Amino acid sequence: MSEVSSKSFSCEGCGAKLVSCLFCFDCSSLQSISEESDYFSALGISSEFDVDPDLLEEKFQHIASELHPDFYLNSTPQEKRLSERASTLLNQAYDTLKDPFKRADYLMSLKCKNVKWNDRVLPPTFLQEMFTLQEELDEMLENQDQQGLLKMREVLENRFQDLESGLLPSFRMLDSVEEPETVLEKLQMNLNAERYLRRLLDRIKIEETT
Amino acid sequence: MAYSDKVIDHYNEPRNVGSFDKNDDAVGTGLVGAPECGDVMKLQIKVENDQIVDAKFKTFGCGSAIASSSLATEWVKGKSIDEAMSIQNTEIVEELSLPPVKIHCSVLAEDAIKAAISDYKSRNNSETAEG
Repeated sequence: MSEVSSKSFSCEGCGAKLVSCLFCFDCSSLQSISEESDYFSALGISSEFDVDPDLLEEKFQHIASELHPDFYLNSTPQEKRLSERASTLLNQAYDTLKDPFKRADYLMSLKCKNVKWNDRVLPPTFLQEMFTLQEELDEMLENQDQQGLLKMREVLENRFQDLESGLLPSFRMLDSVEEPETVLEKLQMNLNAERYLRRLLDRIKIEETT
Repeated sequence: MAYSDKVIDHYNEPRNVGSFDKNDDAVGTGLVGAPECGDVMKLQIKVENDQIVDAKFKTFGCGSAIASSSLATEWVKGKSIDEAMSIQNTEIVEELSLPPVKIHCSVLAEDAIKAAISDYKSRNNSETAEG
């Protein structure tokens, strides 16, 4: 597979090597945004699935504090606009990369731009199972079955964990195979299943907060 | 995002909610899902002499998905299997004024009709059975 983690950026002004593709900390200047400015480069971390959440948070705060439009109130209109665009991009990057499933989705499209795979794949009989769970949930919500709801929540959260822990090994495999389609479909299956499980979990959480 | 009046109407008063016995040979069941959002939709038809005499649905999803399937059950009732087979998602989009981000809900409803018909045909070994 193509490696994208080695992408490096230099400052358009002073030529220094950039931590974030959005800003030069050496000469304190905003950088123009191009197609090359992906979420990983924006946050200054390498393009791989395994991300340290603390490091991500630290990088985000550090870079965000330099890009904030409040610092550009007296700057040129171009700089003002650029700081707004850069801040938006950085926020999107952070929101996407801090969630393992969104990060996986993003990284798959980044790494495998030119590969086609079945993006609607689900585990066999999964849909029927989700429908049955939704009906059971209907019943529990109607009967105010708190014990049942707690139990279902626990079961769902465990399945989330299983799906999430399946992501990293698949990405490691993705880097080592010649034909990525099978691995991509396996990853996609996890991402799709996650959306159905999240729907169920969200319904339970809404019930808990009302 | 604002829903159209027709979506709201179907959402507040969905038509034909419920289910038939899926093991009844006169019944065809279509279960489809939209992995991009986690919606799941079940649509069932009851057939007599190649005419759809009744339809039921149950959808877990957004307002547009519920409205699309509710409308689909209204439309298939009284139609022949072949007529129902030719219902296009674009007709649902038009009727409900669905915005582009909700077009997949209408696709789901069309898929559900086709899946229900296909299930009915395969269990009745019709000559034109698919799948």
